[in-house]
Amino acid sequence: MFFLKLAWRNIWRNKRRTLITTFSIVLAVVLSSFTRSMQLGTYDQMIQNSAGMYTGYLQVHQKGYWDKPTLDHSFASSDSLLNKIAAVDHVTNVVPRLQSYALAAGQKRSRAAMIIGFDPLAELSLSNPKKYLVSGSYVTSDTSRSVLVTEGLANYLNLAVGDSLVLLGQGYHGMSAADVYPIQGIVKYGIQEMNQAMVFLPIGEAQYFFGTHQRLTAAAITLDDAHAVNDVQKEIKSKLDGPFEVMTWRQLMPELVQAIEADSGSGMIILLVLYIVVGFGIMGTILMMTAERQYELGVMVSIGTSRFRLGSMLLLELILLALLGIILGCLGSLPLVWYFHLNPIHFTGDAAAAMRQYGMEPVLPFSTDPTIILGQAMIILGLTTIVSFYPMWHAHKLNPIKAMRG
Amino acid sequence: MLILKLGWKNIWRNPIRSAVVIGAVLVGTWAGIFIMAFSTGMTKQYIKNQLDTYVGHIQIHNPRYLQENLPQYDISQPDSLILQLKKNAFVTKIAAHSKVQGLAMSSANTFGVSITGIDTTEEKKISTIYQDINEGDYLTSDVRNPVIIGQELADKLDLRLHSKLVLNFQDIHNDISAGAFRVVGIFSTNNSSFDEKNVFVQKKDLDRLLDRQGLVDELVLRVDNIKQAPAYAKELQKEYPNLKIQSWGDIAPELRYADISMDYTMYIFMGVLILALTLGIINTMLMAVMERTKELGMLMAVGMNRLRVFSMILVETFYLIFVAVPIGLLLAWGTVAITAHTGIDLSAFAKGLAAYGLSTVIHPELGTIYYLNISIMMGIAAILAAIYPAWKALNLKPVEAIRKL
Repeated sequence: MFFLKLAWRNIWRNKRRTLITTFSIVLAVVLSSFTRSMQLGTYDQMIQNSAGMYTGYLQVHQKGYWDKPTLDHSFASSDSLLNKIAAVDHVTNVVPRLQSYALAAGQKRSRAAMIIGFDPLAELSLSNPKKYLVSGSYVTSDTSRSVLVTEGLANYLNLAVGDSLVLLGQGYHGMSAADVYPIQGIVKYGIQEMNQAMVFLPIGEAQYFFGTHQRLTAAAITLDDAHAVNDVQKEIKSKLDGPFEVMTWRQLMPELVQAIEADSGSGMIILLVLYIVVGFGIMGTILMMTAERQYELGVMVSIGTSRFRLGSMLLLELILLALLGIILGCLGSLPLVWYFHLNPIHFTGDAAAAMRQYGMEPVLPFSTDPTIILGQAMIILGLTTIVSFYPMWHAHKLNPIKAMRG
Repeated sequence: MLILKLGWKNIWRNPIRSAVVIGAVLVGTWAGIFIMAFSTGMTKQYIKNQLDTYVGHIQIHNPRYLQENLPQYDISQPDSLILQLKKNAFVTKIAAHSKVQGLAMSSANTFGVSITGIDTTEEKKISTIYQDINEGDYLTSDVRNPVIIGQELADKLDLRLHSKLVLNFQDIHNDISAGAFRVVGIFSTNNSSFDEKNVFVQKKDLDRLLDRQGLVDELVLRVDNIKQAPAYAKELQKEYPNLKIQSWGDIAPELRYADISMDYTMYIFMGVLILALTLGIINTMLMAVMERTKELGMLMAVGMNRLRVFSMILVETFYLIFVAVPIGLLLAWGTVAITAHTGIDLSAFAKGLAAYGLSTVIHPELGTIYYLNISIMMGIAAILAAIYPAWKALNLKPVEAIRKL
């Protein structure tokens, strides 16, 4: 207790020394949080780009649909079912879909296209065709007899708004499905794959076209917190009885998970290098701090302070400083990360053009997940504690006569 | 001159302190450059793998083909064009394709695919798909109408080796044409959506079904330098204004994005690293000045003027940094050179990498311009890191400084 008091007083005895040491720790926390937030923010952007653009963070299907995605694996939907899902915590929207392939034809040409039976209102929260309309207008009713097509398909079939689109395919349980719809709007997505051959057909009409009645192939789910996805999955699983499969974006998009994992490896190496450099910085200040206090330590040893206690006092001082440093570091990182989250670094020139063409916002986003900062703070605390054993070792070996001569 | 000597001696007076500063700068420079080289090498190999598999470096089409995707919009007089193209020194390989969009039908399912007619010996020069054949052969078997398909498509259509596959499309007169093909090989590249949407057949078989032998819809070129491909494409575009000539960045924007974003994040990271280094050095030197309060006070008391004290501290910091940076650069250059030659084998703990299209053996590489940029950045950081502690030393008051404790 006495040494705790002494350590506390020592800290305030030389404010400049304390300031410099604390600053080196604060800096370590801020820089590693900055780097990690940038790395994880990029992943969030990739996930948002895929899950938030089309797939959703979760999907509910009939069991077996994902392995064999056909209409025969659709499930009977009802308002009560969808409401049950929507009532789960963190779920912001439930987007019903009935999806299959059919031949889309214009006057001269035809092409296999993905037909998406969609709810015009719910879909606004996910693939949002309204936002990407390049001509025509948005469909408002889910039973309206008109379609939206992607620009890639419209160009290929040589069709414009107002022209007729013939759809020819296979419906539920092998029924034949054929109909003609006027094109009400043309949409263009940045992601090329989404821009190829897609037809948005209002869901009521799609159910009629494919002869599925009230059935859906998938209910895509958006969340207000991407990190809650596993909890939500469990919750939905427990609430639904019947042969359903509830899949997260990790299961729906394994390539994306792989891409992130591959990149995460090099991200960790980068952080490791940063730790080495900030570790050296902290080491340097602590080393100099010990050297500066030679005389004082010499006196204490001479008047009979045990070396172990002296060493413990120094360690205690540094741990107090480290705690102070990481608390200030966390407080400093938070506004910094938030600033860059709200005002992300913008790519310019070629890079920006390349990213837009790829369908991504040309910015470098930052993640504001507070656990990142806490995690980095813990690592820096560990790092500082290891380095802090140096003064203890120094006190153990100190020669008081030499020390006081200086 | 005296100051230079004094600074040099001061460095050796406290070797541990000097070692820490030199160590930090050296490791920072070394590791920073190595990481950049490692990441650059990894990205470049990823891009190269993708280009080698299916994109090529430059593609040439009839502009109408790109708009309408119909095989009749072909490249006229392809043979003489190929001969002319080959006269350009930078063009290393050329392969010609006929290509059509159609439906692949099995007894189980139907799927839209892109059908490419290839000449197997020519194709091997520009695409490594023949190395990605999991089962069967690369269109070399003697069965009639052979086809190779991707693993993903095989799963979707429930096809196995030797299964029959019907390809249905419009020929050059817009008439429906169909052919029964035999699956002789199943490939699996690292791009699953490519594997789902592409099938390859013998060019002569496809040309016959399209009703024009020697039809060329697409030329795929390899050039001597991937980075130069956009410039080469522009050059060729001027020469052949009637054709549409695209480099890999336009054909596969996701690859260009990978290329460019890597550069960007690396520079930001290097900036963070140098900031950490600079502030680390400033902190250490500030502490050093405090530790030497008495010594500096004494020097001032015996009449050393402030400018000289300032210069002495400045010189000391410079020495430390300028010993460390060149050694760090040299070490980094050496490590990169060695590992670029031997490669870093990650296969033990990176099974997922191969699936994503990354090599498991990484060859780090970094252009000279990066070394130069980093040296300049380190130089500026060194000046900043030296000035502040030296300036702080100026504010010492000799009388207070000599006072003990």
